[in-house]
Amino acid sequence: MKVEAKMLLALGTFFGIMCAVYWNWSLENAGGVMMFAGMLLCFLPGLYYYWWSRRMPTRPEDNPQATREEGAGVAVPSRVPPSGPSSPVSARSPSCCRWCSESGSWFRA
Amino acid sequence: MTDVLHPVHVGGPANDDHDEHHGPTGILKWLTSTDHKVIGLSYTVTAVIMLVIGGLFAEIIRGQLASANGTLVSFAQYNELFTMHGSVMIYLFAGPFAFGALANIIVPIQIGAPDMAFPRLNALSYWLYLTGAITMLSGFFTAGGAANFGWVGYAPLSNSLNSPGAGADLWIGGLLLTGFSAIFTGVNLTATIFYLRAPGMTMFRMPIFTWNLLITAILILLAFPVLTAGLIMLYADRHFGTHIFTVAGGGVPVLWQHIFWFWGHPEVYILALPFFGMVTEIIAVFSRKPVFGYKGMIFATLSIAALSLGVWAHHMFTTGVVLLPFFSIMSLLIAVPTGIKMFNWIGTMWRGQIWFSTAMLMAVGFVFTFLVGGITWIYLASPPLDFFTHDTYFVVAHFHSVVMALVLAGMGGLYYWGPKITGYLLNETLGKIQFWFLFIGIQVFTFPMYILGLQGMPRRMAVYPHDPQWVHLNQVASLGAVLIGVSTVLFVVNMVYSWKKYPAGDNPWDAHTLEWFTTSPPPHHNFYRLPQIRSERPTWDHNHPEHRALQHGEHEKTHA
Repeated sequence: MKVEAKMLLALGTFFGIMCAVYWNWSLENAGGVMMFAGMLLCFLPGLYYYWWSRRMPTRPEDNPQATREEGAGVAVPSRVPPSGPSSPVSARSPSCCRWCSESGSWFRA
Repeated sequence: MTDVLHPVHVGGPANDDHDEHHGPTGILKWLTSTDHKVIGLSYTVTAVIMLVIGGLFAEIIRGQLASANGTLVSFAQYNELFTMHGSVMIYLFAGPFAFGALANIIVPIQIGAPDMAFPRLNALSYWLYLTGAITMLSGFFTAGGAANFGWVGYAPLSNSLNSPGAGADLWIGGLLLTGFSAIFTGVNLTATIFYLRAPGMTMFRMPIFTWNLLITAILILLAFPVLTAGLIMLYADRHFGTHIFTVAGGGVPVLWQHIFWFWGHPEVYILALPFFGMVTEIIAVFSRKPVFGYKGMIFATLSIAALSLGVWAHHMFTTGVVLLPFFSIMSLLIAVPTGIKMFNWIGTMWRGQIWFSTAMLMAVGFVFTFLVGGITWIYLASPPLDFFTHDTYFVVAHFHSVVMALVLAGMGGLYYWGPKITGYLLNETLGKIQFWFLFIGIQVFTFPMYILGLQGMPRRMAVYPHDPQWVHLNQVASLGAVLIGVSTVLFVVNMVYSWKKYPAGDNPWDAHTLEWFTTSPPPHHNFYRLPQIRSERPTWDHNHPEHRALQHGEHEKTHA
């Protein structure tokens, strides 16, 4: 998740600089507030992803030498509906399966 | 080894023996499916219908303008036409086609995922889009007609005093629904790309199309909520007695323009970036080379996205209340990463074995047309020139150059990925004829409008002074519009003529990225098996092991 985190933090930093320059130069509030909010919208997930990437082991999708077998994650059996994905090779990582079943289970087919 | 004439069927049998999915069929499938491919096809068909509707409005507009005092439509009808033409084309065609149609179908397959991260949310996005489209267009059936204040809906023209009918409210409601559709798609795309990539598909091995869609999704999440807020404020002004945009109650009309364009400028990049990605993919495959400057493309796209959130007021230079130097500098800066992309496209083609298929012709046509539109952007980014050309046909010509270039790229995307989605190729001869009608039509349509704009012809006017040169130039532009219409008809003819006629095989173009590893069309969860992913061209590496991408520290053996 390092690349994702750095991308969002870089965007947030850029918006912050742009916001600071614009707000001080133009003294106009609407655009300044919108850019400030955009900066927060980038920093919030970016900081979370950065914290997550430092705390968790490398996922198979972030490992350039990962094998197909590493990506066959463990689904939580009781939460997988009978009509759920049954492809012989699952592309989901274990963390994704856990994340999907815990936080997005209603939206899964 | 795969070549174009004898594709190796690596994905598995193209029947349901190995696929355990037994979902609904027929109309029930189209109404209830959460499969991203079905939803993406629904988006594609709906978006193309919107393109035809918006195109019909355009033909009527050009018919009216073919003479100086045209009487094809009344002034009121003309106002509705240009409003709904812009609204349909931008909100209902270009946006959904860019990030809902091909993105929905292709992105999960390009990263090796079985579906989008939230399939039901994906379905909800489509139905919100369709409902929003019907809502917006139903304004034509109201007593006061459809919205008639321009696709930008400027206050105070769009308030209840100046636009009292239900058409305006339906326009606002339709936009709110399609806005939510876009936001949910942005959430889905971001989550899918961050969490559902196949093993070994690191961020810097993703195809450029997927990268562009990721950046588009982030832009959607940053920009669309602002539009939603602005629309709610506008509706509140119209019906709940607030005075956010009305001077009488202490409001500020120009605040609408700040809010609208803070969304509006990122929106044009939300429209453009997916098509940039399509063109990058097509040019690489049909030059038989990897993308030139892969990381440069990514950083250029990120720069464009970042800068796009800081340039909104270049649409407001003539209001007199914006900081001209700031927005001028930021707008001019966007030309730098865009130029990097242009040079990278040329660099990808340079010394390649170029195959001018229909898709490649469309991509090259896009590069030329977008270059023309981009150069005129430089003029408009300069306040003195913008003061002269604002609200003239120069601006109309500029943005039509740009969006018609996106149409070229979109057509290229359909010709390129159509065989993967349907399993059948489109007829190349008809496709090339369509390309020439479209490409020549675009130039014949836009170039007279540049001249008209520089001569001062204002936009959004149903009639104009009877200057012989203006009449002549308008007639040439109308001829261009007819050629574009013919090209659209040719596309439909091609689809009908080629229906299930030319089986495509898994990889008819000997393409590079992961979606070409699976069957055409892909099975229900996209892959029977995945290759080892060791570069940004996994299918190429699998099919051409003698030319696979080298790993870090590995060097090509030199011959003694």
